[in-house]
Amino acid sequence: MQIPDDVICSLLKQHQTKGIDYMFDKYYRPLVLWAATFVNDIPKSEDLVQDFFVKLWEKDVGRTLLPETLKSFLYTSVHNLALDRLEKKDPLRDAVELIHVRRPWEEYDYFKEEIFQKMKEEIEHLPERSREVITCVYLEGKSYKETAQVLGVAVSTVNTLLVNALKKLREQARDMTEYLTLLFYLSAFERNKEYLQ
Amino acid sequence: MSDKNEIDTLLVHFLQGQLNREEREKVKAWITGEEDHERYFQEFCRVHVHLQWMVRENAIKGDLPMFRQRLARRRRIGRYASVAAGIVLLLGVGLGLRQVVPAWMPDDEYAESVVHPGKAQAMLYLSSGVMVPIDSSGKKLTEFDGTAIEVHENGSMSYKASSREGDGVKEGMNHLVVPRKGEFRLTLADGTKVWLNSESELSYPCKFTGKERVVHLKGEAYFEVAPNKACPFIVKANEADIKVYGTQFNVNTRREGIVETVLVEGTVGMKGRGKEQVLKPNQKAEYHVGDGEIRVETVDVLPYIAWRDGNFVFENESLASIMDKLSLWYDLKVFYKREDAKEVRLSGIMERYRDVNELLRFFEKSSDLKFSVRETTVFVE
Repeated sequence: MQIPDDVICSLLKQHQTKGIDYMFDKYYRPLVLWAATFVNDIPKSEDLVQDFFVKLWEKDVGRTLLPETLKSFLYTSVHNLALDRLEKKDPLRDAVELIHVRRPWEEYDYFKEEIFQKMKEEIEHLPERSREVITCVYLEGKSYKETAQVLGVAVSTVNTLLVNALKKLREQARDMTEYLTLLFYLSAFERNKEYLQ
Repeated sequence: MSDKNEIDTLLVHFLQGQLNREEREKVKAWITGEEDHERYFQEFCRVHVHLQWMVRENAIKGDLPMFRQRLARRRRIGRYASVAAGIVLLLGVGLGLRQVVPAWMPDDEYAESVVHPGKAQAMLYLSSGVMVPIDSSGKKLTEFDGTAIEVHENGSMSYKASSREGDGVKEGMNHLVVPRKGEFRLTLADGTKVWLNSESELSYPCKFTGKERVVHLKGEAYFEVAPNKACPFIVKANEADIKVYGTQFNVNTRREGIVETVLVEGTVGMKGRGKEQVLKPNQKAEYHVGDGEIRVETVDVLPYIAWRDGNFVFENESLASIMDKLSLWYDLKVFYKREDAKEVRLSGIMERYRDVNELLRFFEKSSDLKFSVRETTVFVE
């Protein structure tokens, strides 16, 4: 059961542990995925989000939170923390890590089940090799080279399989764009200063 | 750069961070200024992000128990520094509850909330009159007649009669008092199991030697009587006798002038001033002290006995009655800002060891009532 934000906020306002429990239940997983969009590593993202929740609790930030803005506060904070962490790790990080997804949590929120279900079905339809490539690249974060080694194929094959898989998925998922305004844009071109604040 | 395949490849690789600077510039040039291209690129982005979410979702390991431990560790460090003694005490109180409390609930976590659920605790008066506080820390006692009393760490105790049979020692009576916010389980010398609810008392011999097994109850208890045809088990509650022939049932004397028995299994007979009334399973009998009458009706037994398994189950029950039960377990006072609120009928299910606020929030959603808790008082409006 998802607890409404106003309940979470009022519990946090009274510094009740239940408030942080409910917040965890509701937001932990989406926030981890959201952080991983930048950090590209699930354990690190989990650490980041848990750290964030602990600080939130200890500093009693809950006193100032408003239900209307709770969601955007959480996502924006995690976004900033993620970029912060990246910045520390590698100041000259690859531009691609800065793909900025604007308000993706709304998408995540509204379409979570739908997206997951749809993606699952679509992936089922892919050839087995493509599925393996996707797992290696997306789940295990392997490079093309490592993926090629693991699967015992040429790098160029990994290349092709991945491109074909994404193309296919893109075509199948295209109708979803109609639901939403364009959410994604590329910030790499604008250089990233404004997102680091 | 018009070749579709080349662009697709570049875009996918771009998302994977596989491009060098020169190639990235290429991608940028292709996207910029062309609305179609931008859209096309965004579709890739979307698939990319969705794929990431989906695949990664399964890799998330952290859960609430894990997080709570982390939080508890941090907090404990902080608190040891300031009020070391206090926390040790708090931790000590809850330790034995491990088996009943959901495992994720670190004992000190709820130290700050004022309203706490009850726990296994009672006062045992031995036949000598000596009082021994018992909870869920293990303990071994011996009665003067050799009966061994063992208090177990799960918040229960059991009696074992000594093998010195027939030495003519008279029955020693024990008296168990469970306070508000308490519950306790015991196994009597004959193997009968008794669950005592909050604010309840039971007197019983530490071994049964007579022709009948007689116990006295005030409050609420659930009995699972060990069968013994030759020696009936009798619960005396107020002026009613409940005679048992090997069975499971709940007895409740909380309502003024009423002894309520709900039979789950077997047969019991209830007798007040009048003649005995025999109950069948799923029947509830109310003995009214005032007129000496016994009223019998068929009920769903679950709401009456759920407490035994650590739950609150309310089915279309009046708020007044619900709050009576909650206040015994959480030690709450209830203040009704509007009198008619008492008659509002509600349903709900919750584990007894959870935060009472959960249930109140649920009631708010299912009615037009508002609850606020200040200190240990619940205000209803």
